[in-house]
Amino acid sequence: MPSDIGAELIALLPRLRRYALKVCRSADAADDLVQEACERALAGAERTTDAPFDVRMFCIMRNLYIDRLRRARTRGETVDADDQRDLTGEDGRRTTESRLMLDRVSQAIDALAEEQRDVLLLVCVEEFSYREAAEILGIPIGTVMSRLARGRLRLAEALGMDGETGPVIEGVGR
Amino acid sequence: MSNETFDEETLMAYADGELDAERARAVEAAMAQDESIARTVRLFRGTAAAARAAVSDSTPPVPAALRAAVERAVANAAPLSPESRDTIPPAVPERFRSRSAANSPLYALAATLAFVAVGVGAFFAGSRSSGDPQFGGLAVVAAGTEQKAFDEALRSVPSGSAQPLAADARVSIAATFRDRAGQVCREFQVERREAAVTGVACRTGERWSVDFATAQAVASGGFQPAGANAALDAFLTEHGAAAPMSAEEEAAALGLETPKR
Repeated sequence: MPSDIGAELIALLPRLRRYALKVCRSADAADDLVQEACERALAGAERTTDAPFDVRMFCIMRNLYIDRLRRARTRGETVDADDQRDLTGEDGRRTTESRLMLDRVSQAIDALAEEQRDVLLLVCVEEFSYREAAEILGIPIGTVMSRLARGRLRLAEALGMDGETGPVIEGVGR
Repeated sequence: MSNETFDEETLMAYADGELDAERARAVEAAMAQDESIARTVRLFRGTAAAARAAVSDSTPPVPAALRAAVERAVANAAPLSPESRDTIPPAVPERFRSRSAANSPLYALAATLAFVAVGVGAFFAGSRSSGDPQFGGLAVVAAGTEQKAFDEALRSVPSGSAQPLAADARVSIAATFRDRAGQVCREFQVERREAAVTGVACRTGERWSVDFATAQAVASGGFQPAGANAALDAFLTEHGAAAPMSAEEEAAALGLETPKR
């Protein structure tokens, strides 16, 4: 009998990897991170809160990531920052206007300060609540809000959004 | 008439559904009075929608090697004690999250999922085991023949048809489509007496694996909660599912004889 969280874990893989890719900026590092986080969860480590499963998984992964950064720094390694462009554009369909727009948004997100990008990914993309994002990042909720507001205003500026016309991408707003 | 001022963080919290009802009403009143406030709210909504769309769009599918590694880890993991099993709340599918709605039907659905989670786990593991000796000894014992029948149905049953898996279980195939990566995927439903699982299986080489599944308890009258479709829709959107194939396209994609008209 496999662990009961197995099915949930596998269902959560696309989201875990999506976040890991954006944070690690390297497919190999992202895969390693996701795999190790899953192994930790399965080993039953860190089952201390009654937060929803996805919040806990993101917590585990986030903590692992910070650990790795720290270890890499003490070993004097630099973190590979930009093979991420290779990760998109594999299919030949990335030519339509909306796709170009999405690419621009993606690049603008990559260009944000890391602390702003982190909260943006968790709240806007992964749709965690402010409180959940605060738990995952281990920071106060007020800090989540101020980083998130700054990051989004910065993003809007980079994309030339002014709030006049609603979402820049037709049909994707809720 | 409201002349209250709001800082940007409050307007953002309103856009994100994080304000309580009273504060939200105050912001709405201010938005009606002051176009610049309304514009700021739209700006925050717009950035969230753009970020969500851009990141979902640029994310490649989970690599098979990673998926396989995690599946192995799941198969090897020790079973949890019954006590801890009860305390694990299910992950609510992404688009089901409703930040301020603890009473929403979605939470009821999440509770339903928790109720059948053990069965779904077995189902998942079983459906992935085909052709993979790593999973050969896995506890889908009763599902041995069921497993075969399920794989066979994915390979050959036309959409709109059903096939029995066991005495009290059958699978029906709803549609066939390609995802963003061009993989052939099929939407299916496995119905049992007390629960039904709706899901999507995709083909890699000759293997089918279940990439998404959501379970619903079936009440005595055969009632099924409507929520499952929303989770499925969210999955399909996220994976860039193309429109369902016609019967002819499906036959070609599955390598079957073209249906007679």
